[in-house]
Amino acid sequence: MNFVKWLNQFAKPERTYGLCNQLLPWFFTLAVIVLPVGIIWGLGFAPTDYQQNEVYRIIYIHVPTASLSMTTYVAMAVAGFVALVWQWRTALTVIIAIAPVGAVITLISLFTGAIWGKPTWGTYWIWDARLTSQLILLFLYMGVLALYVSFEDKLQGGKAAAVMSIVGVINIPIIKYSVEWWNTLHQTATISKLDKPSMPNEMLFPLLVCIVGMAGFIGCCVLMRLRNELIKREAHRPWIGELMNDSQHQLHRLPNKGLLGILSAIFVIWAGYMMVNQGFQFSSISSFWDMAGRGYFVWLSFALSFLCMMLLLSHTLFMNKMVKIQVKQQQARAERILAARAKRNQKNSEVISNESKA
Amino acid sequence: MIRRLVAVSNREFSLAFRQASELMQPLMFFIIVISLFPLAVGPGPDILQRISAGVVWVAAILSLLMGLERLFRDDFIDGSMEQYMLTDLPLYLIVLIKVLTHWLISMIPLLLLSPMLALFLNMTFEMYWVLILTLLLGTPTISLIGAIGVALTVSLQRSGVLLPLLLLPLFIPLLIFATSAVDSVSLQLPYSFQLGIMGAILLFSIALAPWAIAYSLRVSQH
Amino acid sequence: MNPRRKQRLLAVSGALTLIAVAVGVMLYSFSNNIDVFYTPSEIHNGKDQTGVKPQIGQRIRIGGLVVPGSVSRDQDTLSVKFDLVDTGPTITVEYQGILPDLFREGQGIIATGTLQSPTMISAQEVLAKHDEEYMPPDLAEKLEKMDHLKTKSGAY
Repeated sequence: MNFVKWLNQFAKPERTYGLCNQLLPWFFTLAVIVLPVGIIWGLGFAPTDYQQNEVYRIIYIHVPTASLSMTTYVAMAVAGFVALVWQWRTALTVIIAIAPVGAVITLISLFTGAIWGKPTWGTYWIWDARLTSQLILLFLYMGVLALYVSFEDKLQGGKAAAVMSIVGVINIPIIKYSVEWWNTLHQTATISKLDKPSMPNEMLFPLLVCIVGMAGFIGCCVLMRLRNELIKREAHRPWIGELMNDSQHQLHRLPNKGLLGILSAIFVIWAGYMMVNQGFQFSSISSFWDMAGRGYFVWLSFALSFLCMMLLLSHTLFMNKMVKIQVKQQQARAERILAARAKRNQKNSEVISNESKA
Repeated sequence: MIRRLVAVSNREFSLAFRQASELMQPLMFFIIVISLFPLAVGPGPDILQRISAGVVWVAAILSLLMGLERLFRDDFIDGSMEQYMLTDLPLYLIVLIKVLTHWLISMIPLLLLSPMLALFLNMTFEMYWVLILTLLLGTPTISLIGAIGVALTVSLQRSGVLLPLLLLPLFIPLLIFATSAVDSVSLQLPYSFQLGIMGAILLFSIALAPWAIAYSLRVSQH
Repeated sequence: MNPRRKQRLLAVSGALTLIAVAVGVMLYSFSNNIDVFYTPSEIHNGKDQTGVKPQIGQRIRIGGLVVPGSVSRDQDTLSVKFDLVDTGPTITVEYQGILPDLFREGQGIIATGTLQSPTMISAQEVLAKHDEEYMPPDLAEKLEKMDHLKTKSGAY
């Protein structure tokens, strides 16, 4: 019960906004320090796979996105459930913050899987169970987004999106089961290369680091989008006005940076030590670039993923700017109205006083 | 209470038969889509037999969705939905009755037409029989889950393709099990597993969907 | 209890009963063996449970192990012939096309085609199976014996 009470304080948008600011640096650190370290580790220092050679390195972007896309959907549905059961409006904004991020992550996992498929299966698309259910997951995300966007009343749209995400999450196990069953029935003669294989620690550690870093990136985007949504939805409330004008406002407070710095330093030292131990796997930069002839696939998948992530991030930042401009305009308008009203009152009182003089 | 629920169902029936042309359109769509396939893939009896179950099922899903779109719209526009919400009858029972009535009205003609389609697509008698079973078990689920989507989008002026976009991914399991059941029977293999799963999904949706539909309608009404 | 509460209780218990029945149906369907093909001996003797015997000319799916030494390829065309076995008699499969990479002698495969004669199938599709989930137990045992052979050849 105490927990629910504690949780309940975040039903207030101000609180949630403050929490976003408190959490954001943590996720940001994960996204800018842990994710790049993990990817560099995976690309250059993890040992080569005995079967697939260098092309397996796509795993360091494919598996994090694929495994987190489902988690993200479940998180969205949980937010929807909370929003509907306890009638929290802030939880509705969480859904809208998560949905686009989840869709982009699912998209990344889809095309990295497809690019991986070309050298291993000989074709970009195969109706593999994982790829197929990932495709359906993308459809579900798009459905939630499309539903929200088509409502003019954003509160109603949020509620509809919440219902849809819950219906989706109940269906996901059934869909996954049916697709897997269907796939084993029609299995084509290939080895499933996208399986998460049991792997030695030298390969597994960078993969785990990548998953944590990708989770940081997702969290970072979600929190920033959540802030935007909160500002947009509460634009007419006084706390937003105070927040925008006062850069020292207590809601802008960030967590203690010292601890963060120490933790990331420890992480970088550990990762660096491990990498030095494993050694650079390539004899020269050109062979690193070539990736044993598979460079095209590896670099294409990483470049496209990076592009998608940057697009998502810049869209989020752009939205932030737009929302702030909107709030400023609204404030200016309110001030103009107040000024005009004051002027009119003055005029009226002058007229009255003139009349009384006369 | 039961008498009043029967009255709801009677109202649906009489409304549906008064607008018989609305009833006919999805049916015509169903037939036309199915007759397009032999023209597209060629009239070879083997290939038609192999794709028949899939074709019938895809066409049935699409035509049911078309009919579903009108499920709550008229009631919503003329205000009778609001009246339903104000009565002391529980809304989930009312929507359950409405959905089941709608299913009866749209499915029975479809089932009556299906022998002709079996001829079109060169199905054997056993395949046809199992196809009917899968339709009987699967289409109520489509109506129930579809009604959630309809209830969510009913207040939108232009819902367009939004409804299929929302709902089609949810129907994939039904499609897989239904077509696989028909395929199994054409290979003379048992198909009770697929039917069992479809039945279980149907029971789940009867238990849970009415609440979701009722809640969505309340969201739309605000 | 007021009528509203009573109604709600009835509805919730109704829904729970339905869900319980649904779970029951699902468990029941899972408990039956899912069988998606005929084995060679079932083609000879009829299905184990039902005794259904396939007729000549019908579409059929067969699963079994390729008998070592039975694969004969035509020199000029892509057509290939091989025998399949489980525990008893063999069935010959005729196929025209490129066989999957995993196809090799001793490997479990599944073929879909039409039954030409009581012991002959002309296949339109040949799939190599690497999971033995759908195999009957005695066949799976046989497959397991073949398993080390597979890993040695380095294909998996």
